[in-house]
Amino acid sequence: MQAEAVRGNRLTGFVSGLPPVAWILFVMVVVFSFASPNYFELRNISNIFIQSMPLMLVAFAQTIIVLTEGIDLSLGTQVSFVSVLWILLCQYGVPILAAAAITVAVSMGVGATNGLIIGKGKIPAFIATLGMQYVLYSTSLLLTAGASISFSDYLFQFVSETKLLFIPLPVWITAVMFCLTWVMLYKTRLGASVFALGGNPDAVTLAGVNANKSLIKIYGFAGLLTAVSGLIITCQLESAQPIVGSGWEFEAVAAALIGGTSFREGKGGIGGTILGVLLISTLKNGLNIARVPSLYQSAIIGTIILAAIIIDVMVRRRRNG
Amino acid sequence: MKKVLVGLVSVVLLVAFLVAGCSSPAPKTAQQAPAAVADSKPVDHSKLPTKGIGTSISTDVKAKKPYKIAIIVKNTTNPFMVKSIAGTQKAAKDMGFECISLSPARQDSIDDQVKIMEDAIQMGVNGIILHPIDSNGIMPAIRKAEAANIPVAVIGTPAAKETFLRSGVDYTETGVLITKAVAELIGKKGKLIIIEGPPGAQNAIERLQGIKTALKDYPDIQVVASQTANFKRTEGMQVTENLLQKYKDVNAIIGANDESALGAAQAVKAAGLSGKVVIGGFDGNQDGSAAIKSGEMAVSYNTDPFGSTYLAAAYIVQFLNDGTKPPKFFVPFPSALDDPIINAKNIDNYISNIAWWK
Repeated sequence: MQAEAVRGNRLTGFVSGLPPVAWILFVMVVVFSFASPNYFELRNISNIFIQSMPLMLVAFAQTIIVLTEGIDLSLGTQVSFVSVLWILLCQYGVPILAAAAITVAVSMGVGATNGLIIGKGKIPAFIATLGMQYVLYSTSLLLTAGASISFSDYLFQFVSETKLLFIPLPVWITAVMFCLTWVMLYKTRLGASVFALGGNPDAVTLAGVNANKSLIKIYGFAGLLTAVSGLIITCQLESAQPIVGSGWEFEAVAAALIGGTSFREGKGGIGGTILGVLLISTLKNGLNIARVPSLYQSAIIGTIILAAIIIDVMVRRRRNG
Repeated sequence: MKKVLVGLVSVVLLVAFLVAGCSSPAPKTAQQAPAAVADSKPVDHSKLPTKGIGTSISTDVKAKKPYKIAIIVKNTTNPFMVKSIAGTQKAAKDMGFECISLSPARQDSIDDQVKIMEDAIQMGVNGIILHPIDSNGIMPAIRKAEAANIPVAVIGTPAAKETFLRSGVDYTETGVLITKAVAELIGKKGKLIIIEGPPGAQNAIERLQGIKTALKDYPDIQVVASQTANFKRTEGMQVTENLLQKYKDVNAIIGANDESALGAAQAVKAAGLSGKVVIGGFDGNQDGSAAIKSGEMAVSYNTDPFGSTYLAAAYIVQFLNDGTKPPKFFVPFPSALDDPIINAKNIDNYISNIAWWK
């Protein structure tokens, strides 16, 4: 029911129904294009997209978890852990694709463990995933003795530099993961339970849904998304990076909220999150190209994130009467 | 189903920890940075494009066109990084190019630094001076810059492969020179404590190698303990406090940087051993300089981020002017030829005329 209602809205008023973040993004692109002659070039736009794909996947994961009224603080360190585990397995002689598959499975296991602790253990998501964050952080550093590990394989350059129909491969991979997540959210019982756990009154009731089992699957699914993110960033940096994802979990929360996902009542979805991530990436890239000193950048990014979320909330309230 | 899952997950975590436990010395980590040039002849310093060191550095090189040169640092909170930017800005004024300073919005984040490199290429800069956050992770971005014919000069942490230029100190050399200075001050014999840098950090490893190499020439100096303080003052103090309980008759302490040496100095003072222990550090930073002036520390090494970036800028401008390349890939600066040791004799001159932190 929920799913159909959402799709109905999308079809009826595409332009007027565009989330406010789309307009903010549009204005930003226009401003940066005037501020710097190098900005609106195909290569730069392509840069922004390639640069934002790893964060995009983590933001999808964070969005579905926020929809359950949860939060996952271990997502960033999951990305680092995936990067480390993949390269270590390769170093021990496991074929690179098999190593990737094992890594994805382990990452899903880590996510499922989060879900288990939260559901079965009745531990608040904030604490459970904070614990996992610490465990993964030091595991990654221990495995690499604190340094990065370089590994060369043609696959890395293939993933980061190949273009299909003018679109870079990481974008295609992210698009596939988006479709997978969309289907999971709107076409499966698991997706219904995401909204149900978030306490959305319109959503299917909890009756007949095992909440604990759903939490394990949902956090496990998040583990899948972070694994793909970790594999992509490893290809882009051609090395295992034990702390690369640190802090991404918060940028992912910000992207989800900018995109209209709410911590309460399971409102929102992953479509808005795409715009949220693009807003953050566009902002960082534009500020560099417009030569804004980095000391000012964080403050500007923070202010715009806050403004975007406030505008989004106000517009939605008005629309909903 | 649930039990199987729990079992599976715990086995996975257990294995992960076991692997972590077994392999802490790191199997084949990133220690494949370009070999230090200790085996070859140093660059003749009269041929450097610059004169002097620290804030007194100058040059005759002038940019033929108003080039855009980017200085990309690791963060903007470490004084070392801040003064790297300052050095490039002075170079821009003296030589007549435009300096663009860029730093990751998230401190010390390698993926942000890669993005910044791509942004710099997009801006059409003519040259890049870079403090790489990670030797391996930065390589794809360096390749992109080189593909766009932009010379990249790295300072401090080297990139995994050779680029246009590497400058900044040779960490091994710093270790050798400070150890020699300390050894002479204690009459070439006695007991020594080494306060190491963070395990796994490339610069700390090279510096420790330098210390050990130099000690081979002093058979009467005995290393009684060698422990890490992670480059931090509080840890340097705690480690030294503990060690002084056991080794009250220690003659010298070498800290892997000024911060850990300053911690050691505090511990020595608290133990009532002031004046009896010779303490050496590295960096010549503000507090380190004050400690040398007051006699709490004996020696330090001017690692001069200001002069290093200035020199790198001069080489880039020369190259852009007429294609002149640096004499070799790694030009250590400041090196033994630049009188980098700071001690009680030259501390006043250092503070008033040279110090990079001013």
